[in-house]
Amino acid sequence: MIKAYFMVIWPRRLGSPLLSLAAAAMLLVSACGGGADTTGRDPVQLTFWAWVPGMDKAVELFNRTHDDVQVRLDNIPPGPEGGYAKIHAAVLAGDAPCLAQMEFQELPSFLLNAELTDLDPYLTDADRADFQQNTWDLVTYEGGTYAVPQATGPMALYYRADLFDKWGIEVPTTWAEYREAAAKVRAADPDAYVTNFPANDASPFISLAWQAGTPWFDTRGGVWNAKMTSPETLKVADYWQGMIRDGLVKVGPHFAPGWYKDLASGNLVAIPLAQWGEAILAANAPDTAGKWRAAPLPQWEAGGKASASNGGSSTALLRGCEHPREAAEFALWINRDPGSVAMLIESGYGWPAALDGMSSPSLTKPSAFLGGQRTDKLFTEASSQLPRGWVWWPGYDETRQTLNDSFPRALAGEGTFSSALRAAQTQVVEQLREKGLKAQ
Amino acid sequence: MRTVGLRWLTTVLLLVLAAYFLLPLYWLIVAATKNTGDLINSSPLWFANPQLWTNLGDLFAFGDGIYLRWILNSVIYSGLGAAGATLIAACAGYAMAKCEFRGREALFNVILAGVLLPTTAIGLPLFLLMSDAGLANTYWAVLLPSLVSPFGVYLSRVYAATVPDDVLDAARADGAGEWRIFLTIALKIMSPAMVTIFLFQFIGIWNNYFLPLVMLSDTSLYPLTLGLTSWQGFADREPILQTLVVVGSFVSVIPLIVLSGGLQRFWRAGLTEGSVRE
Repeated sequence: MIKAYFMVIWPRRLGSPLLSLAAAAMLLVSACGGGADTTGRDPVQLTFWAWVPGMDKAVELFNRTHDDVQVRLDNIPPGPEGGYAKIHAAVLAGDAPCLAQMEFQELPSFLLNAELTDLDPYLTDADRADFQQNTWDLVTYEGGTYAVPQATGPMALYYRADLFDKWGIEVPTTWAEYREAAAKVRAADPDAYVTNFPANDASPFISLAWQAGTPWFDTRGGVWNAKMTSPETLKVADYWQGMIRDGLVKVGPHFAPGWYKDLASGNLVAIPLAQWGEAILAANAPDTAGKWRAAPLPQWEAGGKASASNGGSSTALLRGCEHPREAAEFALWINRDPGSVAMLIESGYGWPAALDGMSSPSLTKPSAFLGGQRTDKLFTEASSQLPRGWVWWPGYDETRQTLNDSFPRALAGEGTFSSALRAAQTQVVEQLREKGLKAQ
Repeated sequence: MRTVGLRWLTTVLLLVLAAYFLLPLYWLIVAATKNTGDLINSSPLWFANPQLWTNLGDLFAFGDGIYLRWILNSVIYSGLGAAGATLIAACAGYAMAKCEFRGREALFNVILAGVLLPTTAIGLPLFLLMSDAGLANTYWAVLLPSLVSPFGVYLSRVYAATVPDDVLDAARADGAGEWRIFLTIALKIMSPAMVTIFLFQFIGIWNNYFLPLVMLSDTSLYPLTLGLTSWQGFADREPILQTLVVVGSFVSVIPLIVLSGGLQRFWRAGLTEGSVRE
């Protein structure tokens, strides 16, 4: 199951006692439920842990339309708020469900402890062709496929068309133009900014660095090569720090009451945001409906075609799953079936990874929040223009936390974003080595 | 003059501290009366279109009234857990104070070391145990670990030591059994300690997050902490949940306030009682 080459990057972490313990537990479990397989009548029971709104309806639909497999959904707290800790614990105890919701960036941390099941044997070429190719990149590590991609977060520039018109500002297509627009916004309204920079949350910054072109990690030569301080990433860091220094961008958290308030009152007028953010804007700044539009994310080079993705999720198969074939079937279905995808879109889970999903009626219909604009073409392109080669690394959460701590310090005068990135890189390489991985 | 000045200083200091501690509660009360729009847009420290009853109605209606279930669960975990923990701690503390046996001090020191272990640190090992025993994702998974209170044993022992040996000897001379002595005499004298243990344990279990998080996956078994967090995860997409999380938090502190207020009488009396040793 574990490929030889794999072992170069992922060491054999699990001692054999633990494995035999897990095996013994599985034997016990199958001894209890042994009757089910022989009769061939009882449906296979699978458990699925997730926290995506609307998932309950999709699972219900699956159960209604399937006789051989039945899935029980447990709504666990969101991954970053303890959900992942819970999944880790359950796998360790040999008590895990077959399936779990997993953001792309978390997969490596689970893989490091061999907590996932490779579903490569259960995937056909036709299955793969149904999903956007670059989303498979995000769930594939050294030849193994550990999850079915669910959704990505292609980013766009959401801007207030009414205010741009009023102030005579052109929609920026490059980051240089975005900076000029930022200055004009400041001049037009002393309370308004183009956007705010969430210094306490590096996730959007990491996405914008992704757009710049050099992935923060690659695994060439079987080594985790850190490239967090590439000229491309430092360019992004200097850009935003410069914007903040010159008072063109506000500093403050995203998805927080103050942010919603600024959005509702027209104090933030052109924000780079993932597609799933639109539903959140619409829900939290309802009075501004119809005034927003979406445009492609500004580019580093005029005429460039690089997008970025923020957030994004998959359905992963956990270790110890007794029915991996059925679990894979479910994972494919829930993320590919038009009915299921439509329900998940409805609740704002993101941009579908399934190609057919992108032309789902709820995505092709004009958006009232965006004044009747259709965004399916914009995001279909954006999701296909995600720079390839990005690899999430084990310990992403620690790296993000390090940056969350050091970016605000940089703004308080202690170093710069660039020096924060350098320090974070040194730290992450050390951490990877401590985990027994080759890293440089 | 100096004492008057000092008294003023003390009063001001206490007022400042009280304000510091009460401000979050005040905010919670104010916020619990707002609708989602006002929650974000109105002044955080003053009322805007109060609609507490609407919010409460929404709270108990959302998701087929799952909130009520979570309250019930929290009461079960905290009530039974704290009651059991108090009884066990009282027994253990009394035994350690009044019974001579080999290894008593060593055992006591081990228990004392348990006071230093944060419950979060033992959450995972406990889960592995419970999972092995087939009790994960049941009420027992949260209840059983809640029955243990090393701090309670420590406090019980301190209080049990104040039970005069003469009284016990007299009771024995009158023919009372050890259980009867414990239940009728020792427990009475130790009751202030027991109130304290009950209260601490109740609040501890009520506020515990990590243990139920790893133990439970069935939403209908969740305590309030877990339930409210899972709501908050959806709150960006369903803004009404922002209001419900706030109102839910407000309702969830009421039992603690009532309990602390109700038991304070016993508690205060107890602390002074225990402080004088004859």
